[in-house]
Amino acid sequence: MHYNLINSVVLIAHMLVAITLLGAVTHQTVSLWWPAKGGDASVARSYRAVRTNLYTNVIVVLFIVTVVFGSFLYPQYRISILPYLTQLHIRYFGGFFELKEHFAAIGLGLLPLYWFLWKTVPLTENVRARAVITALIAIFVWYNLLVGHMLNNLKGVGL
Amino acid sequence: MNLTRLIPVFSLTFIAAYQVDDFLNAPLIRYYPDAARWSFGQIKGLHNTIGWFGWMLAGLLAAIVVTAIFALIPQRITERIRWNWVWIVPVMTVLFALYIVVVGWWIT
Repeated sequence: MHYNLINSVVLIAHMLVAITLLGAVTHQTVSLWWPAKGGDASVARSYRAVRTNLYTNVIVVLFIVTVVFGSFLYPQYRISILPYLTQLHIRYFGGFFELKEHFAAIGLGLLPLYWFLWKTVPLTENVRARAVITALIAIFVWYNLLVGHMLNNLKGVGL
Repeated sequence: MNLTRLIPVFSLTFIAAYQVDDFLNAPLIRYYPDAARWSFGQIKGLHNTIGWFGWMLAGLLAAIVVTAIFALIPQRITERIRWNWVWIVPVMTVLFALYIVVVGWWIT
């Protein structure tokens, strides 16, 4: 009971940090790939008219915190959720999760490179590399949040 | 000495080594959630194994070693390297990860 309560708290914290990360990385990616150029002061334009490199350190910290929370929950997933999916003959959801763990690890490994491209290289250089690495991290975050949410809907790890 | 020049090498080696170690299913450490035990090898009788931490540890160690070797190369040589192509490695790694999952036992 006590352990389940801890899992519930960590799961909620994991989700809240992931949602914050999702907002930050989406903002940065959209602004980078579709920058605002003059024109009207619409909501869409305002959304894109931000200083993209300001988000970098926040994204790095949020990504690490999200992965740390996720690592704590992983064993419980293997004990209670994966066997449940197998029992229901929907084991392929385990494949969705396996890709989630790979994306988390690859994303974690890419963070130094992501930081390097945003913080040490002039923004006029290595434009394609910066754009693709940022988009990859955004894809990882979106995929991982959606799969995590879906699995939690199937069977949570908490109470 | 400019240490930031080592960052791309560290990142690229980490992700490549992680994915290769996953493909080989040779994690450096394993966690057995049912028994709440860590082990460097297989524990007989325990089948529910988490290799993810061990794959990441393998990636980390490989990255440290390769980065240390790269650091021995004089900076006047390494500063000629342009990192425009650097995005190709993570894209290939992601495709490799997709391949591993798709051909894995999840769809059987």
